[in-house]
Amino acid sequence: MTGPLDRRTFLAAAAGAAAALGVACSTGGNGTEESTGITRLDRLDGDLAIAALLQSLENLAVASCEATREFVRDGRIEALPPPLATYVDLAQAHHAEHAGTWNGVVTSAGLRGITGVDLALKTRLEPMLFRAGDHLGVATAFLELESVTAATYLSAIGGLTNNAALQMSASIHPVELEHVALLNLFLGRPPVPDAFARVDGARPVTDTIG
Amino acid sequence: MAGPGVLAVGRIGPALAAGTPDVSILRTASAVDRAAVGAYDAFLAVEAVTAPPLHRPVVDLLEAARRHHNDHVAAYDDALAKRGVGPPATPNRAVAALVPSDRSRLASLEAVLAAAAAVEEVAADTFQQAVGLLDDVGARSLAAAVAGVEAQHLAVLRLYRALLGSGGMAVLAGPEGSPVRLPPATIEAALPGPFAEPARARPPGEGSGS
Repeated sequence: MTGPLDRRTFLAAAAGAAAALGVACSTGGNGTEESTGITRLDRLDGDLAIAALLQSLENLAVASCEATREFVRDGRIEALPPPLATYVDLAQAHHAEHAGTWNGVVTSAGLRGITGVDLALKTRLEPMLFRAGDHLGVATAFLELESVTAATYLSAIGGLTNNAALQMSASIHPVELEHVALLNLFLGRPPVPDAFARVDGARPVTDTIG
Repeated sequence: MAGPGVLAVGRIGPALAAGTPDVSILRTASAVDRAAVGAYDAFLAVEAVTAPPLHRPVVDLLEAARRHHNDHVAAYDDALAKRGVGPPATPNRAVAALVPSDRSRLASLEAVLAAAAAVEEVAADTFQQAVGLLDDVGARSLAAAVAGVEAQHLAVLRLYRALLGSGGMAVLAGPEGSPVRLPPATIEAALPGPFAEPARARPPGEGSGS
């Protein structure tokens, strides 16, 4: 089921989504970013606000993977064992693809791309990574990140009205949950503990991006 | 979009009515999960799974997946019952056919894992496809919540298959709660791509199949 669908293919669908989102969007503003670099999602409407939120979470995931490698280089975190290092590489590639797709949606709607990250989750995640110390702490921090991201996608699926954006979310949500299962397994926990994916912990569109 | 915890997964809204395409899609979903329950009954009866050398995490996953599929059947049937529609009479035949009727072809752990992965792939794809087709938001959220869990089953099955193929099943033998030293190649096998593509989905109105 997880196929070789690449970013180009997906952006074609994204363009369709963006066209519809552009029509549906009535932001009344001049874009998503203020001069401070802070974006308040509640200045956007409907599906576009959801797309921006999802992109900000994907940006955070990419940044977290990069930060982890930097912490290892600096000696703030012990060297990652090969399976976790492989996970970080793969997860970063996936999240970059996801972020690129949502960026295509947002910019095709005539708005500036979202370069910031979800600040509420970043505030919670950063200390977890800083204090991780060892690879188990790193894996636990990534489990938190992936769980929240997956929950937000599921919540988005209940809120999106544009079908292309809905299908995009439905295509990404399982991948985030695959990441969760792998991290659970790595940590020695049951990899699939629940019969239903959950929305607990989902970030709301009122979050600030910065 | 709904805020954290607002979306009630599994609740079906009033827009769903008997005879609408949503009902057909839900009947197909129920039939697919019914077939999955039957498949796991067969897997868990295979001596190579239950006899020594026992791979406890593999058995745990197979048992959990069977429970999950049973819960999914109940959720889909509940959604149908709320609209005055009964459950499908029989499991989906195409999914049931993924389990070799000649049990001698299901005698090894590898054969069981391969068949289980095939079942999960079709189930995950069918439910992901349903997300983009269902009109009712509650039904859509239910399908997404189920699709994500099937994707998790599939990811872990892929990993176990890769582990078995490399002769590395011993890494699963550690005490519960201790980190698992997975070979990096198994992580790559479990996470094949950034987007899930519903290429193997059953036709949405198929029901139990002809």
